[in-house]
Amino acid sequence: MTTPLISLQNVTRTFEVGRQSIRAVDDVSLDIAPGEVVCLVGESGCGKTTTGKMVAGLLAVSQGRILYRGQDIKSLKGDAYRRFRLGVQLIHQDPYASLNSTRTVGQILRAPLERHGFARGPAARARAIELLELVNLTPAADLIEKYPHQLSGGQRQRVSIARALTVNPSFIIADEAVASVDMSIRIALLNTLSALKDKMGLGVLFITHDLALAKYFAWEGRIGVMYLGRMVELAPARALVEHPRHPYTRALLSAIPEPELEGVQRRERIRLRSDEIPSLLRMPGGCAFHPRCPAFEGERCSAQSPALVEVGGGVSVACHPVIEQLRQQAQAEARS
Amino acid sequence: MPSHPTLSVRNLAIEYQTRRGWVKAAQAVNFDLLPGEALALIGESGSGKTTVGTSLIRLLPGNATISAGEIVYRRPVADGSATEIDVRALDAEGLRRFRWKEAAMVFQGSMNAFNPVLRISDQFNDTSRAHGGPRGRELVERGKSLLELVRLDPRRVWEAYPHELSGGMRQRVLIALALLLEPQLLILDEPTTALDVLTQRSVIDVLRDLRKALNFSMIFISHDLALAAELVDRMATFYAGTIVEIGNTRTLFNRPHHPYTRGLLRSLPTLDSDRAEVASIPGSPPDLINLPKGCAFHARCQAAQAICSQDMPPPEEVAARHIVRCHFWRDVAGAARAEATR
Repeated sequence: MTTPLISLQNVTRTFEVGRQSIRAVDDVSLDIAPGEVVCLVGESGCGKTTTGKMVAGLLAVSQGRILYRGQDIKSLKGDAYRRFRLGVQLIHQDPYASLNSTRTVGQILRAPLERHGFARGPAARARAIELLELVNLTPAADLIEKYPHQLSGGQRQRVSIARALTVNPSFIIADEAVASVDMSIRIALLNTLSALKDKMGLGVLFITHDLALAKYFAWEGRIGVMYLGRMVELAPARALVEHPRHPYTRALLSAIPEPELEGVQRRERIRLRSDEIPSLLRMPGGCAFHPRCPAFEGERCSAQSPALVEVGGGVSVACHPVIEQLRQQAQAEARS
Repeated sequence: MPSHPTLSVRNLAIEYQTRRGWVKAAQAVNFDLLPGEALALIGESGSGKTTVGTSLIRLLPGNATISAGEIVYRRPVADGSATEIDVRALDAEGLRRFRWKEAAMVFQGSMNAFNPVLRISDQFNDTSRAHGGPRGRELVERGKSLLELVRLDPRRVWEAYPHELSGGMRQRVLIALALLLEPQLLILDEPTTALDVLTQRSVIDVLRDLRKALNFSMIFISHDLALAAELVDRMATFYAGTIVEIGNTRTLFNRPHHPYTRGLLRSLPTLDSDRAEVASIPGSPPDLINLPKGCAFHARCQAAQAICSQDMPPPEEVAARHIVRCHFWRDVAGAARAEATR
């Protein structure tokens, strides 16, 4: 088996809030292979952004470890650390905030090229133009002289992508990278990212709250659903949307507004036992979803936190009743 | 008996003065809203949907002017006729009476809409006093029953401060507050944008129940087509400040007649869509200061021909209450039909 590009092993991150401490990310494990796409999906406060920041090395883990090409990123020093920081790049949500407004596009792209010794002078300019063409920003020779405020939101986000590519990364973390862009151009931006991934063999961690978008982008990859800091389901993208296992995933899917299209069956609506999202400061015991869960089964759910268990077909799920049911099914099949 | 539209907008044009020049945020906007009907204004940022929505109760920012057109609001009276209010002509006192009692608006970002140091009960009180609503016990009763209608527990919410409520709860309080003076028209601007999926769902359900219970007319401003489709009877697609297509929700989704409506629908991945069906619209929206000649969409349009860059297409009624601005709507509708039956 090849070494995963990125490996999260029982990663937990706590934050101190006054005298209390909250677990923003709780015991998350995930391997991402070179060239693989994984989408992290969940509502605000589920820990998806914190996870992304830890993988980028911007936040330290509290417990557990994150491996980059098999090495704990905490132990990396000198050149190895530099290779990690260059190898893993982050594309932020808001290109209005993440691009320096007093620098031209050319300056924005040339700075990392020169700083990290990839190209210098005219070669750096040529590489900047090449990168702009790679992210479909044309005519690149004109755009290179422009300032961020002269570009549209979609163009700006393309500059962010080009900037991330200046240092030849092997892994990209895109945190709600298309959320600020209008819908008619969102897909074009995603397609650019997808094409780059295929061309350059990039691994991608795509963080979004939109399951339909996650399915579109991941397609051959996987989707992980997070709830209050824990990974509750991890599965191949289409399997997760078409055959969700975890009650939370099912509730999320059934809550997404869908137009009434001719010939398309509407999803059955799943009612939760409570609409209130528990505060991270007062986390329910056992499975964090149990106060709202329609499949709640009493003491086991409220006392014991379910582990993420592989149930076949690359699907992992953390839910006592679902795992129990699948086990009984397997037993019944084995008997007959 | 033919019912009078609650709202009629005719040839509305709105401009913003900026350093670069006059931004034509809305032009030649026409629509009618019938009593009890819900209409969505759909479009991307800068399409003019919020500008038109806020102009209906004259809440435009200071650098904006309504440069042409009419906004007529009608309140039915006992004999079957209606009292007309010319919204453009209202003076300050007239506006104060008109807002909230006749037409109320709910904005996005519910945190900013409340005074943070006042309890919810005081917010209701203030509103009622400012716009001539009920007082004392009557106010408390009406306020609490509205909170119940939006599925909140009045015992918990009535005496609470805004910060003690979650985002979804605050948004529902705001909807209840908007309905305090029994307006005939409720305008909602992206009311669920800042909310999570499950919270958004509960707000949608509340709005749908409210419409059934109280039968007001509604204008729903949103960039989210699927969300709007769940709530409204009719949809208006905005592009570069004008309505390019308006019609029944089901028709617009299943048989769009304007290439932009069609493009928007195709650019929206759904849970069921196949990857190959999704496609974005090439290019980006035009500069509203220097609008292109002809149809504003022609540079991005795959159905465009020579005439499109010359003449602005007139609105054509292609079916009852289904109006499209496109020279080639017949071809677009045909292609959409072929696709649907494929």
